[in-house]
Amino acid sequence: MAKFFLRKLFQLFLTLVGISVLSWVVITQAPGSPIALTMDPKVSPQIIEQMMKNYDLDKPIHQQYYLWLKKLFTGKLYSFKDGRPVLEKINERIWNTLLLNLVATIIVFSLAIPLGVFSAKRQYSFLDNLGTFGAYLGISAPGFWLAYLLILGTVELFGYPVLGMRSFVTEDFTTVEMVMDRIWHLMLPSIILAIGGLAGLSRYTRSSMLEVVRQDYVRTAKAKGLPDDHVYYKHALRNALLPIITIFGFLIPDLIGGSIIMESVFAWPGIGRLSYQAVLARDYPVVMTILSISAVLTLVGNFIADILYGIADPRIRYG
Amino acid sequence: MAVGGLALIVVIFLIAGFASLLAPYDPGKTEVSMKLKPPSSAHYLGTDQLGRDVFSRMLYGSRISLSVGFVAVGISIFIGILVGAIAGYYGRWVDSILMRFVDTMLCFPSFFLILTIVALLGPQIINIMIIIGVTSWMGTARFVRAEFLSLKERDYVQAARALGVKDRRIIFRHILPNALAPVFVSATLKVASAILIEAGLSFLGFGVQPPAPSWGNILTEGRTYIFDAWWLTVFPGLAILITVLSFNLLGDGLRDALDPRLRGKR
Repeated sequence: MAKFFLRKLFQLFLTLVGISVLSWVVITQAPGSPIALTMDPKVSPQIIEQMMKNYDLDKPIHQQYYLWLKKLFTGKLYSFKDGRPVLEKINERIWNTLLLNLVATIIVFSLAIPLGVFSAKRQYSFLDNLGTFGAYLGISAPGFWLAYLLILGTVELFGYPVLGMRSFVTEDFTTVEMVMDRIWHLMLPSIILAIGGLAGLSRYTRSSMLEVVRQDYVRTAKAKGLPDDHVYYKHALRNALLPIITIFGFLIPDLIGGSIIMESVFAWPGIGRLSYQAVLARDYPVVMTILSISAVLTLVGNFIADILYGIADPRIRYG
Repeated sequence: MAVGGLALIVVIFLIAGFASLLAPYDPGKTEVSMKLKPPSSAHYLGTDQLGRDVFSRMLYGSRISLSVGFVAVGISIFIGILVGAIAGYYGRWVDSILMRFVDTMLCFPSFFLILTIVALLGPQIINIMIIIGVTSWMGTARFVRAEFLSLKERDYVQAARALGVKDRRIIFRHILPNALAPVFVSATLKVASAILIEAGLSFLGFGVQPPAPSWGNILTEGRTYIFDAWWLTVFPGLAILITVLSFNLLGDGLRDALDPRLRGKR
């Protein structure tokens, strides 16, 4: 176990170095990078000066890399757009994104697992086939398109604004109305964000359950007269869901990617929208910090998932 | 279902191939007096904000979606096979280095990475294809490597080696053909996701640029008029949905056919 742990830790370190080098190469060495801008006479001297400061472009190349790394992890990178520390800007937005994704995740897990178990219990029934088809639609439809259809539908139906975190005019609202308004604005983007995950996870639960219920111990549990629900939810589901732990680590890149589009559709002031605005404004420090942070988070997430998987499943032995 | 998917893909290909014959109007011809007209017998899917025929534009748009999908996946598969084959065949430190690189690439949020690089390099269609390709090969590399790890121990490979066949020939002629089945499956599924990525980029203004018609940018231009002209939003989205769905169905069907152990997975 200790040997495995150390080896994993070493790999983790190597990957971290890889992430930092790659981020730095994309930002400073690729064609069209900010360095190319410093040659452009149309770019204002202030921006060039800020860029020199951010990337130490006057220093030799190995120092440039070292200094960029140091600034990235000590929060000394400043936005091109307003000169504020990048980490401060991210901190303002990230909680809104987490809130949105937390609600979406709750929707996914509370619906997908029962749906998957139900489909597995009635394999090839009409409802199971309907579920399969629905899941295909869910993973095949562009999220922003679904979002627009939903906006079109709800606005026509209820005539109540859906964009942003709350309505514009809220002065004459009571506290209850304020809370309801917030919840309303939270619901639509969460539902759309949840659709892809719901389709994927419910199918995953289904196929995983189908494998598990054919095993001997499930037959034994049934044979000794346990109620169906008990067999499915207590005995089978536990083993069927084990591999899901490993999916958690890969949730983070999806979360950021999905947020960029959804937060733009719903004008949600989160990290995804910040990323998109930074890309539009060519605000490289912000873009690169978000890219690097999410890569590091993914890495750590995968590492934790690996370890947890070993703890949750005693059949896995690290050697 | 897989056969249905294949049939739909054939139809979409025919549409893309014969777009110029099928289109009732020139996709770029504007007629302001006819702007934002709902679907009718003259304009099957209505007209857009410049009075262009949406049906004709969508026929031409199919070419862009399909070509982005196929070229991007071609690039991705090529890199994936190369990296996976070299890592799996040579093993040891070559394998370690390449696999750490794969791990590193997998950590980046791919859509955000693609968006960033497209913004850096400019949203030309060729850039979009290349960037989607070079950011999506890691999965292919991983399972090609896994196939190679097991296949290279087989007797026939040992025999080829004993006969003095060169490494390159063993990799590409002896092992690779036996490792290709899962590559086909993932390529099919990847076409689906490449089409979705192009649509997402279009939505953010970094896809194939207007006036060239792509499903993504018809949809994106139409969202301004969503409450007055629903057809600008609904039809291109449906086209994307049906195309992506067909590739997903075909991909899963192929997987079931090639590897019965995985039947019913997803």
